[in-house]
Amino acid sequence: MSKTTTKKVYSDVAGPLEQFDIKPLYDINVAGYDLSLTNSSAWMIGILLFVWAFMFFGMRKAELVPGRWQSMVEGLHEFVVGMVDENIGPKGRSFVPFIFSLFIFILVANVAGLLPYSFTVTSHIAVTFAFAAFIFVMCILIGIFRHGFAWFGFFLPPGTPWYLMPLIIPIEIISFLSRPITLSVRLFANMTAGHILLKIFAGFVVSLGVAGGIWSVVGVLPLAMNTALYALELIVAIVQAYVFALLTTVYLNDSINLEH
Amino acid sequence: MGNAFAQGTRLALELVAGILVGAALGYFLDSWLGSSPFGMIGGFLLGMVAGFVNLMRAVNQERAKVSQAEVAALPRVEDDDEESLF
Repeated sequence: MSKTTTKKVYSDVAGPLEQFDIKPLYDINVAGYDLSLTNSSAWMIGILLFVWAFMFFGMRKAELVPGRWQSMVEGLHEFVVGMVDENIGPKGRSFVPFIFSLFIFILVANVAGLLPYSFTVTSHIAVTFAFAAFIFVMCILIGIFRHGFAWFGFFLPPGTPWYLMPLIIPIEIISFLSRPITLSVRLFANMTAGHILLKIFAGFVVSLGVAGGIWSVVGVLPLAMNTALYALELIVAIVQAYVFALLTTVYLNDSINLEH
Repeated sequence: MGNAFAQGTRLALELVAGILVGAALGYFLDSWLGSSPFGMIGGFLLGMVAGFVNLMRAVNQERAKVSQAEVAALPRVEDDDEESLF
């Protein structure tokens, strides 16, 4: 076991951040803008195709007594409808398609990111912030269209004494503006942190295994840890998709049912 | 465990995001009105308050959820012998 072989293997082990690199697969330039098909966009297209196939072939032969596949699709749909009903109420039914698409896309993207050699689309803040900014603008527009100028009363909690208004209104505005940031950073940070952790522990397994002797035996420990982390990451992937969809319904509720 | 982790990151972020947005608003106000550094200081403080408001709202939301789960779990207690439980 010489020093040079150890060095060589270290350089062969992928760095923990390499998995997030965006690589252009097919160069497209439109009017000076780089619109290349990257591994990120390729995975997004793949996810959309998977979701489409899952929904289409699940419901192609819709029967009164659903089969296995059909009941999976119906179960997911019932879950989202239940979430919207619970958080928005009957007025929220028209938003079920939007919430459902959002939920299933993020869910599949998160879980697909756990496949070996895959790229996690939601581990980029550009993707998650695009979702969150869209939801944010949508919430404002829906609020103004449904309630007109009265919607701005949202920034003034009922029963505020007049002398506290100059303080409360900026606080409420900042609180409202921080919504897209919390929404996007939560998903991005959870996915990125988990994947870095997985890569680091996997790196430990390789470098301990190469070190030979007693170290190879110790290498079993990070391997066991990685297996446990993988289970945790699976939970995180599903829970974060659920939290993202849930908070979207909560935010939409504030625009649709003006409570205060 | 995953759920508790999700809840933890959510609560931490609520506070940080409030401060960031407040400080950013103060910064832009400064560059617009030339009132540096008071806009940023005020924005930072207001953002901190807003972060705590967000934090309190999120915690109250979570607590309401837990109490609902407890209510849902109540009928199970009636079947058991109450003496042995307490």
